[in-house]
Amino acid sequence: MEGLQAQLERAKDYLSVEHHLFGCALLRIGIGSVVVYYLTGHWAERSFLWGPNGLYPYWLFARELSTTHAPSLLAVESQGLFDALYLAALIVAVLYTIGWRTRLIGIPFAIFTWSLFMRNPFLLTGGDNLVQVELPLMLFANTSAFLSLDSGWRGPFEYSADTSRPVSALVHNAALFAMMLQLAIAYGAAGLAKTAGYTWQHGTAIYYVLQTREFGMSSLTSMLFRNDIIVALLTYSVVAFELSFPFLIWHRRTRWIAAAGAVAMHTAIALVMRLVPFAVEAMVFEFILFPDESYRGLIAWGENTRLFKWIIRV
Amino acid sequence: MNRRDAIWWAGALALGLALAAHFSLIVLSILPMNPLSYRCSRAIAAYVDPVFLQRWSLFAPDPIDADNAAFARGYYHDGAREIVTPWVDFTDPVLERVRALPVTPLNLTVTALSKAMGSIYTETGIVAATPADRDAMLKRWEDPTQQPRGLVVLETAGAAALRAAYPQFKFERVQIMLSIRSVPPFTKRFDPHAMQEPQYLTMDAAPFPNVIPWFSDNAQR
Repeated sequence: MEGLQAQLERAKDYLSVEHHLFGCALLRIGIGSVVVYYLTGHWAERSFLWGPNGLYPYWLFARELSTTHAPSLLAVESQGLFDALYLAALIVAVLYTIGWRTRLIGIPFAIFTWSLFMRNPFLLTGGDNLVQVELPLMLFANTSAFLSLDSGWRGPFEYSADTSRPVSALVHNAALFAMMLQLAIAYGAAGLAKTAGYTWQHGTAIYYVLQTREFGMSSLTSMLFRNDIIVALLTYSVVAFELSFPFLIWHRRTRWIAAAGAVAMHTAIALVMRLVPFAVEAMVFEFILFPDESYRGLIAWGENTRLFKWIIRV
Repeated sequence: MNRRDAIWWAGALALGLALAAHFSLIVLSILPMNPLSYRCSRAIAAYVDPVFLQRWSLFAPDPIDADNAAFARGYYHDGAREIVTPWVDFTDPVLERVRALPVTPLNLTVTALSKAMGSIYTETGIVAATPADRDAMLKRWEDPTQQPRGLVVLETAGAAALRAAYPQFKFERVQIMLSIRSVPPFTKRFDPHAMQEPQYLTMDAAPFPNVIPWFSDNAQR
């Protein structure tokens, strides 16, 4: 009985302190930056992509609403109002990225980001979908403890565990766990779905993707598809990575493997298939896998390397 | 256990149950249909759709294995005579620019046009339809309000491209043609004759939509 009591006390002590705060801050900056990129990078063609008389006109959005059940603040008939809301979305995204009143700004940021993604469903990528399902969970996490205006741009070495707000810490840790579990489900589901596909089973899926003009690079593709062993290895390694990801992220010794696999896969997707925002959206979620000590250790290690000293000197 | 501890543990229990319920519904929503998800289908749909809808497939179960392209031509009157423009390719020029410069805002346009073309094949069943059913489908789609959403998007993009390519004409109707060409099978990847000819699907002309102008170099006559 005493053993159980002691275990419960230890669990309470652990959950009464907010964990993975630096990773959550990097996630906030990553997601915010992607949304800022979407809004500023497409400023010139905003009306064409999301406007009332653009690719997905307002009347079509209104017609499809009964089946999509996905309203959007940006679905308005007036071009002037659309422009005003677009600008508001950009301001909110910038404020969220820099971490100004993050808890409060997080709510309009989530609403505007949702609205942007839902306004034209043909623009929605897998990365956007991951952001969309994670954002409601992020609202409950403390994402501004580091690298934010709220924290005075605090770095990873300038913070010690706060045990004075156990309930707030409990909510943060639950949100963190939920975000990690959602990430695990996303990769696991993608991997499982691939096992049912003929080309993934037969080790040729990568060939077909890279042979299309939309996703392939002619020089690299022709070099790759000539070697059947490389095609099969790449295809099976994608499935193996996605299926193992949900099991690797929970232990400190294996989460590096999961994160390295994700970074390798998404970097390849960004470079070869040109799906850069998608790749960035997927990669920034890897930040939350690591505790603050890992970042402190990484920075301390980096400070002792020649490259870091060279950068500082330059 | 003091009162504060009791409140904390009650909160922890409630959060744990909420997370268990949340992820049970999420997992049931992505699993293939089974007796449990069938029984709970209404609750699952009500909770998951649209906020937590999981559209993350990453080229599963099978990746795209064909090249799609879309063309538009416009109809206008010169006096009493109706004139038709040549077909304008409005997908390949954008794709070429993206292939030349990967980090470009045009990436999103490529995504939208690609998904719009794909949705016509996957959401309407037009490819598998009998000739009579296909004709009935195309007739119905002459009315834009009855069109599948992918066709609306392509007509809008095509109309924008036509306006950019022929700014001097006042178009009354727009017509879309899709082409699809399958990638050679893996086993025939070295066979120069394995590359198939594209297949074309021509829609009926529909009223010219009111669309904002597009960048003129995205259209190619």
